[in-house]
Amino acid sequence: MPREIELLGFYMPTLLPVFILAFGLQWLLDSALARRGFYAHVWHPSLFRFSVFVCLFGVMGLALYS
Amino acid sequence: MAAPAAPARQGPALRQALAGWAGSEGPAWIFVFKTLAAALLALWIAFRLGFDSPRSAMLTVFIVAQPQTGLVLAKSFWRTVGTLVGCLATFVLVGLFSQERELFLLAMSVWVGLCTAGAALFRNFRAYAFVLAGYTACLIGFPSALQPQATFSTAVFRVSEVMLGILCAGLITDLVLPQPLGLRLVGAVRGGYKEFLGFVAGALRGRLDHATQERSHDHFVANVIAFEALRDAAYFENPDARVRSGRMRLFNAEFMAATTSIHMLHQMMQRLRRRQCHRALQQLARLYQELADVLLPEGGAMPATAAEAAPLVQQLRQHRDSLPQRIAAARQDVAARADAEELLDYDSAADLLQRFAADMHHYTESYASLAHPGTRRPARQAPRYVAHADPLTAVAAGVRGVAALLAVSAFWIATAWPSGPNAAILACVFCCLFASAPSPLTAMRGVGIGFAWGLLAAFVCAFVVLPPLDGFALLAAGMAPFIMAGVKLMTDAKTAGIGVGYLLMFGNIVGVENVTRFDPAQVLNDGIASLAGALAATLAFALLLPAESRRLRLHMVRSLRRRALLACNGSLDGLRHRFENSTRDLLGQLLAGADRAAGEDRRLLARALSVLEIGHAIIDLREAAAIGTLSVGSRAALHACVRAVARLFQKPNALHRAHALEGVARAAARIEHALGESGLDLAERAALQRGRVGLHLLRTLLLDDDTYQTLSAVEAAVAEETAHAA
Repeated sequence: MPREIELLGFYMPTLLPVFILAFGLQWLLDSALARRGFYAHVWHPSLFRFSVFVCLFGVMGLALYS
Repeated sequence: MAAPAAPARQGPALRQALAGWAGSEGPAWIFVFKTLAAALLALWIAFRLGFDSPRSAMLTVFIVAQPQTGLVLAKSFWRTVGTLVGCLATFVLVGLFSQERELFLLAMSVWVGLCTAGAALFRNFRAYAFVLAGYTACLIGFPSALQPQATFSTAVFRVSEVMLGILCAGLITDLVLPQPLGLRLVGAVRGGYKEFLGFVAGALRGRLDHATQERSHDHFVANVIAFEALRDAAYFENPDARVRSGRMRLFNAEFMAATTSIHMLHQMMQRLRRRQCHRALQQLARLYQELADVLLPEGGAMPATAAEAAPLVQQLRQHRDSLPQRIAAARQDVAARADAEELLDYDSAADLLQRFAADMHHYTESYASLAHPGTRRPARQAPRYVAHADPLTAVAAGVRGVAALLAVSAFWIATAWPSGPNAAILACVFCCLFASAPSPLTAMRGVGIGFAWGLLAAFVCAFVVLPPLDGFALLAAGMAPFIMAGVKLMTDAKTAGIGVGYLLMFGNIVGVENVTRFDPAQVLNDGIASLAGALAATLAFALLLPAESRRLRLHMVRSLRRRALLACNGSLDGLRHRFENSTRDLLGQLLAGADRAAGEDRRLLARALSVLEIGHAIIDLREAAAIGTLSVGSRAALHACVRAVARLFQKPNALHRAHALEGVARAAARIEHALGESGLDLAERAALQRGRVGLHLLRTLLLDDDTYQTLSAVEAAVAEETAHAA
């Protein structure tokens, strides 16, 4: 994967769309978990959610820069 | 022996005092430290990444910060959207007009005016998108107009800084000692249901006097709006709330329907009592008692949670289904001893009772369904919340934004003022920020006081405290007390405006930049420019159609009456909810600025409730007119009646009132005739019955002098005022 991509004539780091993608994925995962009542078993739901996002973004970012 | 006992007694007292402090002052201090942490974090990251103007990130944190925790994320989302839109708009404006500064400033003013109007039109979290769209456009636009070739890099930096501020504020609020909205939402749902159930049971048993009922309705109106704001905010914060969002909308909509029908029932009973229809009253009181016993048995406990309400749903359904038989049985007793007029009154009241029982069943059902998000969904569409957006208010706000920005720009061009952009940006921020505030001038006064203190604090901080300090840690430590003072002011609703002004001024001119400059003259210039911007905004608020002015208020009060026109003319699809919801929303806006000492709130409430009553009657009538087998002449008579009532609501006078009454009488004769015909199916007969009851209600209301005066009071006031002016 290139580390910079061009969109409509603008160069931007590929991390930016990856960030947005990770955000979308997290939103979907979040809704699915909430629907199953998963968050009743979590001590700090927002910390958990943030950590999931960091994991997703981290994995995708590392894949990009490997 | 006594000596060791003393500290033992002191221990719990101290602990109690500490617990009391944590309960009352604790949340405010948590907010102070969280906001401080977010601001400094944003500042630090901005420095580390070498952004152009790190203070923008910090300022963004101050603008996003809200003492009611949890709302930050909702605002952040719309802020992000607004920032991006504002950024795109700037590209277009700079691309088109950067050669001509007058044209550019004009176009910019128009854009800011549009954003201000938008912020006034959408009063919830979407308003923030508009505020930010205007703010970002100014933030990027003015520097880029001076150097068009640097537009793109300026935009990238500004957008990054604003986003950084939004992210830091959102993360710190969500992760550190979160005070989740979800819990408050659950509390609001349970509290609201219990309160209403208690109210209904009391009202049906005839234990509440008129004043108590009125106060309760006032409270219910506020509840509906507050609940919708909470639901909207929790949507972004809490996945649990997101799953239940549709049901909560339904819950709120059905709450509104139930409050209106109990009010209509109450009004009907009042009228019967005035006319001394003892037979009907006696039978109705028995029916009410039965419903009250189902809802809340004497000495019984209210359902504390949604799950506990499930058995009540069953009982209510059974009661609702058996209600027509009981009503028919009681009707025979009334029919035997009362005249036709009283019998029609009884029919109307019984119909309202049936409707209320159905509403209560729906309301309880949607409450119970909140317990199990996966299953048992009520088979009804959850209607959207319909806010009342007043076009005149929005246009006034837009004109104010354009005027303020044009005035500042004209001064900027005429005097070649180096701090012009600064003043323009602040004028824009305040015009947008207070576009929908009930009393913007009071808010601006607070901001002015805050500005003065902020200027002083920034001066002390920048030229006494900061110069000997070196490194980010010391910078943060030096600025922290000044920031904390401002945030603490924001936690109290009374001083919130002062706090915002103080923080904006302080953050703007304390001058934390990548390259430190030591220039008191520049700090003063920037400070004065900010003051000038705020002054321009204040003047715009004070001079151009002031929101506090009597005239604008009269316009709003008049549009409360004209809500009935929506019931007359709107398309029938989902009309009942739209009409109900927008009327209540407008009433909420009016009540927020009402003069309670002078009893204005009670007059407003009485007017809104009469409008609701009449509107529902009109909708019943229109639904009756829509059935298939009605003859052409009858349908025309019903429509003519609706039109006559609409004319009355457009311009109440004696002639229109007489015409409306005439129309009602003609339509009533037609409906009686249609009911006598054969070949109607059950649904059509029910619709016609409803229409008949609606007509009867309309006639009673139109004949009632109190109601007529409530509705036409504003016209009298306006006539008086113009007479004075002439």
